[in-house]
Amino acid sequence: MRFFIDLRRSLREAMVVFRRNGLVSLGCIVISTVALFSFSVILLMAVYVRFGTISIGDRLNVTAFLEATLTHEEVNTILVRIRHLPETKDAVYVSPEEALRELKSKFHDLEIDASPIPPSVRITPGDTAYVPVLIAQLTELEGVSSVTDITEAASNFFGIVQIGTILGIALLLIFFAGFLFIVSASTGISIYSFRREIEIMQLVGASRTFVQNPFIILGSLYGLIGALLSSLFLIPSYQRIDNFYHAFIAFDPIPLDEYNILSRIILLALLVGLATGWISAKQSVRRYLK
Amino acid sequence: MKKGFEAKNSSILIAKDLVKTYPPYQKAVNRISFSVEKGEFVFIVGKSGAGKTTLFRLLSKQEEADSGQIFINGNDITRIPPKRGYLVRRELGVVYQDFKLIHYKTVYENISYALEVQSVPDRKIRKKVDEVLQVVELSHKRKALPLTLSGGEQQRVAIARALVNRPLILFADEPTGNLDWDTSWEILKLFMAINCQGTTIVMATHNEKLLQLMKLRTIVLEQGKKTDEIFY
Ligand SMILES: Nc1ncnc2c1ncn2[C@@H]1O[C@H](COP(=O)(O)OP(=O)(O)OP(=O)(O)O)[C@@H](O)[C@H]1O
Ligand SMILES: [Mg+2]
Repeated sequence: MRFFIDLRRSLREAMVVFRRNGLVSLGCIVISTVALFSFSVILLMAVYVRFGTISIGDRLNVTAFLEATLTHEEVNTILVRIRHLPETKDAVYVSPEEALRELKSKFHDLEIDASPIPPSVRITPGDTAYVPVLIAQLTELEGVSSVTDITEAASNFFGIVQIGTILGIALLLIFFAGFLFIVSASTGISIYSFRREIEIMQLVGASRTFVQNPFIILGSLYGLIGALLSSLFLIPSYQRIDNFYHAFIAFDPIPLDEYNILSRIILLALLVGLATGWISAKQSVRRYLK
Repeated sequence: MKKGFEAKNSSILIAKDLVKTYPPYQKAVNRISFSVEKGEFVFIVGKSGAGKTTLFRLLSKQEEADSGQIFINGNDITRIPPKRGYLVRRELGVVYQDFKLIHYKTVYENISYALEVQSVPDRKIRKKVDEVLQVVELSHKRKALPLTLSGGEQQRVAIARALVNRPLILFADEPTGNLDWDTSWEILKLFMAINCQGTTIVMATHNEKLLQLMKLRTIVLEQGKKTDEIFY
């Protein structure tokens, strides 16, 4: 009861502070919106890249081509040995006839009579990181003539992801430093412009907490409003990223919609905005209100 | 702040050897001692810079004394940590020469603010504010903003705000300093009426005419020291 009485009164004072420093308050909201929007977008992209990695990783098969002269028994022995490798998740034998059929269905116009393709084993690695080891092991095997090397493609992909992650984190740090800085600076300005009222508050017996609360509430409000605005901008961005992802990865083994990614990120942005605003205002109040 | 009294039972305020030095070595208050009885009306006089305002700031714990003790109703408030000084101020009323009203709040809101900071519910606030507005005869101006009022009216708002807590002592630091003689006299009559209701009042002034008219106990300060105490 007492808590709500105080909260209502502090909110009212916070609104007075907000209005008196209108331009500074607006600046705070803009910057917190930008910071939280980039936070949400970068987080969203990170989630999609992670899902993308998993589903691309699923398709990073290694193919070992066998010598055409091998007998059935010899092929079977090789298949068993490959299946026993610790890096192998699954291995399937593909006969020259099957390979030809696949090829024909992919390229309709192509006229192929005799089979130019040797028999092969298609291997799914247990993890994309095992690919180089797996290739090395397969090349050693007797009866294997060659192995498709996809290490470069895989490492390129992961390199891009890594650079993206570093860039994203750097951007986030910059935006959040700006967010923290502007909220604490504006709190300082507000306290200064309210020094007369603060003196009067203390004169009539306001506790330290009572004097500080409007400024801290205001800082938290900047974060909260910023988070709400950034969520509004996030919805169209989310749809774009989602469309792009589905166009890029046509077959998606992960049912993304079940994760409620958007609402989770919005909730997180609200919490982060509130916390960041609160912390910046709090430390500024501690510095300027003795 | 209700019990545990050691000296005379009726002394509501006792100051003992108060010292306050401003950097580098300006002794604004220099070993001042005095006491005030319950229900008394005491004057403090002194030239500009004698230390009157500093003394009030110490007594209301807006500032901490370097040494000495202050007993209010028997409790040594110098032993209360500054962080909890607001609890002392809730028991006191303080009125200044420059009124110290909040300009964006109405008369009513300025007075109610002294109760709002104590988490008093609105219903109780309304009753108490209405009462003091009647005491200072400003009920009709309750919705006015301070800057639309005359100096005398503004001071009456400040007095109402100081009274709304039913203070143990009312400190007034040159409350008539910014007012002409007629208005000053009106304000003084208001203080006398409040005093007659039982509120202890300590008032600083350098208005000689008022002192001569009132003939009340007067503490004289000079360069931070108490040099005389006049009993009429
Ligand atoms: N915050 C401060 N810092 C430094 N010196 C101060 C401060 N406040 C007051 N003083 C000094 O302390 C002395 C007493 O000041 P004080 O304001 O108490 O006098 P006063 O009796 O109220 O004067 P006046 O009648 O002009 O209001 C003065 O010499 C003043 O310069
Ligand atoms: Mg003074």
